[in-house]
Amino acid sequence: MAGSDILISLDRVSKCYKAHNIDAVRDVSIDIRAGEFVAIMGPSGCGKSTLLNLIGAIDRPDSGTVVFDGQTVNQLDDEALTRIRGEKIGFVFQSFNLLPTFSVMENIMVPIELNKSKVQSAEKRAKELLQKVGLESRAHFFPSQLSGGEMQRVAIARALIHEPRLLVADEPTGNLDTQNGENILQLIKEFNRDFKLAIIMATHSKEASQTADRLLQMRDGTLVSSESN
Amino acid sequence: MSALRLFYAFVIRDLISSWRRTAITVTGIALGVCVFLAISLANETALGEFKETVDLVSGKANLEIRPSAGNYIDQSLLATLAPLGREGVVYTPLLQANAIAVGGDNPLVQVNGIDTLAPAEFVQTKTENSDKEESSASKDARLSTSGQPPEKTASGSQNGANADGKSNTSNSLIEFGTALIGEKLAEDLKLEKGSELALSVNDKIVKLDVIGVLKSKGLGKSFNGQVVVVDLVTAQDLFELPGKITQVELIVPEAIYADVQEHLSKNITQAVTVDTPSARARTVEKMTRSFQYNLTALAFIALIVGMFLIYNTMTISIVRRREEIGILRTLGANKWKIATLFLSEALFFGIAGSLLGVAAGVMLSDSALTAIAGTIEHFYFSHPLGSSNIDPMTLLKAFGIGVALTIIASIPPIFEATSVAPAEAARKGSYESRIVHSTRGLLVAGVIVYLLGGLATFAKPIGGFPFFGYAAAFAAIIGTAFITPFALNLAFTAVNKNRPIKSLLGVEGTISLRALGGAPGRTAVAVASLMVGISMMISLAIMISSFRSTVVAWVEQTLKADLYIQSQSRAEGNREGKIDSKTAEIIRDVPGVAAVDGFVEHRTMVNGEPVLVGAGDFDVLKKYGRLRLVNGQKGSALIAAMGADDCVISETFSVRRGISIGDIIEIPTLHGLLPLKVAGVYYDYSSDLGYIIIDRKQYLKNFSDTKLTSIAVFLAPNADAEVVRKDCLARLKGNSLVLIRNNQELRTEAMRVFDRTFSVTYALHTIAIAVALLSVMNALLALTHESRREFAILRYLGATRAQLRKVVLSQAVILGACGSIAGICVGYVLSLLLVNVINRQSFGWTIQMMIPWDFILQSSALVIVAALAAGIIPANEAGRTKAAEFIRSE
Ligand SMILES: Nc1ncnc2c1ncn2[C@@H]1O[C@H](COP(=O)(O)OP(=O)(O)OP(=O)(O)O)[C@@H](O)[C@H]1O
Ligand SMILES: [Mg+2]
Repeated sequence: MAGSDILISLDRVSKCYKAHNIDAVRDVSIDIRAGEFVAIMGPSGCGKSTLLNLIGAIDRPDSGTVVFDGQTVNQLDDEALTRIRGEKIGFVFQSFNLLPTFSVMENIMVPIELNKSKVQSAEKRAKELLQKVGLESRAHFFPSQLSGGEMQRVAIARALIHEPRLLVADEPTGNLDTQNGENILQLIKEFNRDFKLAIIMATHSKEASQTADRLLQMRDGTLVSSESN
Repeated sequence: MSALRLFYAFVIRDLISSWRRTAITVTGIALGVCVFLAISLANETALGEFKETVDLVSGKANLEIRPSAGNYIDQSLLATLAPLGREGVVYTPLLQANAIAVGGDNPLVQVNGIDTLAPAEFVQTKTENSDKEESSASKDARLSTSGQPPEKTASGSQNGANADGKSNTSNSLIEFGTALIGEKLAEDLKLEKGSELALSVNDKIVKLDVIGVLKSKGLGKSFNGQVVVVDLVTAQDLFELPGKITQVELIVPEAIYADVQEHLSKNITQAVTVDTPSARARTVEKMTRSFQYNLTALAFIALIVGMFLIYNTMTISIVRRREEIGILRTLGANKWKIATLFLSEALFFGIAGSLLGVAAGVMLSDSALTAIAGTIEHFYFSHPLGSSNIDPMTLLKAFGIGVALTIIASIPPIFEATSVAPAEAARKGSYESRIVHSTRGLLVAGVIVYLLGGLATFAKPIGGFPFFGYAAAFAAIIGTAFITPFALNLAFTAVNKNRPIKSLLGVEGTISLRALGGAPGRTAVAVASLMVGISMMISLAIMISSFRSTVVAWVEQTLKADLYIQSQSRAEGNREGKIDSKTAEIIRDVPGVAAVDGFVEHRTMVNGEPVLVGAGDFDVLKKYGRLRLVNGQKGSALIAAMGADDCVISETFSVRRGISIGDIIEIPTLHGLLPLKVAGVYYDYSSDLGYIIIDRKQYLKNFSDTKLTSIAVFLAPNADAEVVRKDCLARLKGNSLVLIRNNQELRTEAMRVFDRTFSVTYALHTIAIAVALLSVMNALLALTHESRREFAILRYLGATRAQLRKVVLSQAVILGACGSIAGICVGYVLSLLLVNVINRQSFGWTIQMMIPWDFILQSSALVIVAALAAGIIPANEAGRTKAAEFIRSE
């Protein structure tokens, strides 16, 4: 495993919610390679979401270091974290979190516009992504006019519009039925393969975890096992 | 859960946790109540003080004889009353007039010339160092003098009464040339027993020996203690009114009351009215009615804007908790319970806001009084207005109105709360008011309200108050509020489709526009409340600037004389201060003077309503005619063509009384009613009571007053005004103390009076705007609060804190801009109503519309800046959005 191949590296990272004195993540160390698909499993409340937030540059750890693409995240200010997210990371959640007053196409374009990137080429890419997730015909629909599965597919397209290196997916199939869940996983897997996109996904589903290259088990804020599929 | 615990958990905790919203709402109500109360207290005090003085002076008198023509009665009238003395009627003459105390801070004083031998029932003049009544006349003396006119005055007055005055009043405590003065006056001037009091009376300065300071009770308390009590003869001498009195106060036993009235009306040959003393207060009430009603209506504006704020707050409170309401409903709470919960929330706002408002209103009432005192003194009646009387009933009324309006404004949202179905607990979606969702229904309602408002403009005023005019204004506001959701929808859709505008707005702008469009109800309410505030501001600004420019034009066209003379006393604030008619003769002979027009006026009643009768020198006016006639005719030509029994009336009088050219009006004179034919109607903006102008010759024939209120001096073509002014003053020195203004100075003074009159209006609409801005802030806070989830999503998608702040701030700007645009449109409509309906019906003035574009542009910019400022707190809140916290799926 070549060092330069490592996209994100956590070294003895801990996170404590001080107000309630909850150690949500304790002493976690992981390396994720570019293009790797990692799944995290564990009981509810074990700290998966908290860990994903650390990996996704949403939060800074209390101790330990997070290195993203050669940059140490710990010392960065909010502005810099935002820039990293805007350029290199995409997010998908259990609840689809589309902006209700924006159409499908507009939802997908938001990250581009927020970062003031080249809108022209992005629009072309948005159309391609929509095609890829099978929703070309829904470009001008609003979220309220879509099914759950469709919404999640829009969310994935939105997460990938700015060609991130990493997709952070927190229980992306949690709100979907089995069939739709499988479709979404399929889609994620495809992007993982086609775009050399690294993925870190928290899930409660055994089947879902099996799509991943590697499966991490968490309990009480710590990693208890790591196995490759 | 017990009702109380539910109330605590559901209402109180929410009020605390959204403390900003609570504070804003309470402040908004408080401001409205405060302004309303302050104005009410000031209004009531002004009238109340006048009434109090009437009461204190008339004491136990239940009947009063006053002049019906001019200002004075001849004291020979007292002879007619003599037989009544035997029937148990007691009475006393009085000469009451105002003067200026030289060297005082509040120089206006009321001089009461009393009959020192009057029955003890009347004169309550206790001095500081004696507790016994000053009118110490023995019972016998009272009996012997009450029936007859004091002989001394009849004879003494002819030659000034100086020499023998003393001996005539030897049996009285207030000797000729001496005075008792009020406590307040004594304090102001630092006078005591033995000091000398200098009074500026008409165009003279006179001196009196102070023989005592009156206790602040009875007569000593009248006119706020700025009172001077002298012997009747002294007063007649001071005011150069030999043998004249202003009233007779009578105490008539109930049993013979009607008989006495009959006796008086049969036997008095002079032009008098016989009425209760309180009738005088009623006249004053009539005079100030329009002014006070309209002021109160203005004060109501802030309350109405406050109602929008409440509506806004309650709607937010309810739509935000639709889910919670749904859950409560599933758990068995019925509609009434839900209604009660929100009603108690509204009550909290109403009570807290009104209490605060009442407290603030009491504190502000003195300032409000000061603000209107100048106007009242200048236009209606003279009375020192120091500090407000705090009437508990008024406080209660203001409090009640605050609470009631809060409840009324909360009814639609509460109704909506009760319509939440239990099933909605499960349903997620946008927290939106459904009332506002039916934009089309509201549009129709709005149009109907507009039409009704339009109809109302045709209705006549009720009791002189333009009730329907205000109803139309209210309809314009409500109608626009109804139309707002539809219009916003249209505008937002158009903007969304328009690429150039979108790229101009940027992402942040687009996002904020979407969030606003996504919550049309809240957006519409915020825009509507801002619209209300701004429309009031714009309409008042248009009205005032139109009025002002009309008055400026009028002043320029009518104030054409070169010099204007008034007495020193009048110049210092005594509206009654007059000039001796000989002064006019002296001025006429000054080199450079071409013509002199002496003007005199007094208030009288025509058809039961007060109006001013004025007289000018028609011979001068023929040549220098300065009246601007409504029908465009030349003033001087009209005057030249007028007969002796013709008059010209002011527009106000014509409009408010429905009198037009050719009509005959009858004015009370010394010789009974004098019929006058209306020959013309002229523009006048100097008094809303209206003027009837007659020739000076006619005036002198019909009224006893030979003095002049003012003198207009027209100069020869190449005379220098300054030189003539100096010359005039030099010649008048020692004879007549006057103030001479040149044309420019008088115009400036006229505009100063105008601006002072409208200063309250400016203050009131500024407060209304402040309440409107609170509304915007409230809406932005709510919007931000509800957008937290979306903001969190944006944070995940790479939005910086600065970008989120920008989103909220651009929402503020969009709201501010929409409110401004709607406000300007409605403001224009309102100004048309104000100028052409409300003002015309209240005061009868024609006002040329003038739109102050510079003010409108500036104020709109200011409103947007203020909206931006109102957005700062919510913007920071948005910036602080923790991405991780709100994204979690519940
Ligand atoms: N903002 C917060 N403040 C305080 N404690 C928090 C916060 N967020 C999470 N926690 C606590 O941290 C722990 C880990 O939470 P986290 O959301 O990471 O769990 P999770 O593994 O994602 O659970 P789930 O599978 O149910 O989503 C939990 O005990 C939770 O109560
Ligand atoms: Mg989780």
